[in-house]
Amino acid sequence: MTTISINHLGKSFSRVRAVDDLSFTVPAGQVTGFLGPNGAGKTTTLRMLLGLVRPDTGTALVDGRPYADLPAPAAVVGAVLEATAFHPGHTARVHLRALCLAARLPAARVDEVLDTVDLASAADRRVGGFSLGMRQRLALASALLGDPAALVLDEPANGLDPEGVHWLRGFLRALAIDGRTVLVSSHGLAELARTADRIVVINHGRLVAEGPVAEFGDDLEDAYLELVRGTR
Amino acid sequence: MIRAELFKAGATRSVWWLGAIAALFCVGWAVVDVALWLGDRPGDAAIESAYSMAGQGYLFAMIVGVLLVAGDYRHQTITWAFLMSPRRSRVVVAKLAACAVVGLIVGLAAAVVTSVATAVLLSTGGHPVFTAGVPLALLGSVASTALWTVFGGALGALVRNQTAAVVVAFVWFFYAEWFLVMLVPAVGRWTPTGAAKAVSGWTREAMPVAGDLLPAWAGGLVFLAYAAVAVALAGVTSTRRDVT
Repeated sequence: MTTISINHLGKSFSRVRAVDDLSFTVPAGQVTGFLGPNGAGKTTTLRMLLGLVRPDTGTALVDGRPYADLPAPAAVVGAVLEATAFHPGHTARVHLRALCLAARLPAARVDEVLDTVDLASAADRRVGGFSLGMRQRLALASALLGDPAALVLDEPANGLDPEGVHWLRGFLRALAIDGRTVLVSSHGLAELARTADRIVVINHGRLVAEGPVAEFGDDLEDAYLELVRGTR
Repeated sequence: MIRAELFKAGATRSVWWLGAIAALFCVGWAVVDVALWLGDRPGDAAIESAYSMAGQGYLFAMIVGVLLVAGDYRHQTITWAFLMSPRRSRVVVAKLAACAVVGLIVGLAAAVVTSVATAVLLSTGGHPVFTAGVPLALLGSVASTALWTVFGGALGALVRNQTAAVVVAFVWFFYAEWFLVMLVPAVGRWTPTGAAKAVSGWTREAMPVAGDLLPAWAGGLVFLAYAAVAVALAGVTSTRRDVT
């Protein structure tokens, strides 16, 4: 059971306060939707959680530890950040195999995760020729390599076709039922209303609302827009 | 970690293309060296000079290093590396170690093809094919090629933008360093190129007005120091910077 906790997190880029005294928790066994307008600080928060951006204040902890202090981070947190982050000349298999070597995971995991995301048939094709949806699947496969207890996903449904979105929903639900911790940022409110158990809304780097999805009423979109407008 | 970096390098075609170009470039230099200059001043030093052309692909070797490290920033694949291993200085060291191995392979390949070409040319010209100094000249060429690749890798980690790193390198090696040596000839033996040429067994002047080079061992130490400073800076900046 892995819990993610964000405590009084703050970060400024030059003069912009990207994240401002932000605190919330992400429990295990649930899908937590992370919402906010563009530029609200979602991606910066996720990058601080993953040790890629250094917070000015506060902490972002996984099981009480900063990501960088985890002995085997790939087995604790899997992350999908940008769908485009692949070497275009490498095949899907080369990309995953290199990650296995770097994280000291068995090479057999490569074929397992390729099967999981239904990408086995494209394993030996160069990523440069992949569609956005295929890149998302490969990113998800990369995140799953270490069989992590928690998943952090930034806009994973971006570029997926309706079938892919449906598949992703079932996949995330299954992970949560399996007791894993799932934090997923998205702009697809209707989709998130069907996938998430909990919702966290931020705007201007600050927490706006946090709670079970049922507390946001029958229409998540209405509730979200009202909350965001109120914090302009 | 080093295996991961080497595996990626091996799967990147541009690395091998550049390595092959570097080796062919060395052969070209050796041909020019034997054809144009050997007749004027035959002797052991001239023969060793022809073999030492195996180190002349150094700028290509440096670009290989830049590609191996800055390429990861360009394609944002560095994010994956830092996610798998959040201790970033270890990632950077692994990358530079991989640069050293790739540079050694490129240097060895260049030494083999250059030696074959040089030996053939020398024997057809009726010159002695081997002298006692040849192994050292080749060894120096291989070492210098590997060091240049590490140097390029460290530059790539510092500058991060692949194009900018190549531009910085070219401006320095083609203009800034030459002007510096023209203004203050005494520094010629201490600049990166001067030091590296000393390692590679270059027997002529470092640059038109630079004067004598350092002995090979001293040049090696000086160039190693340059590479070490670049590696240390790269390690420190990579640890501090945000990856966005």
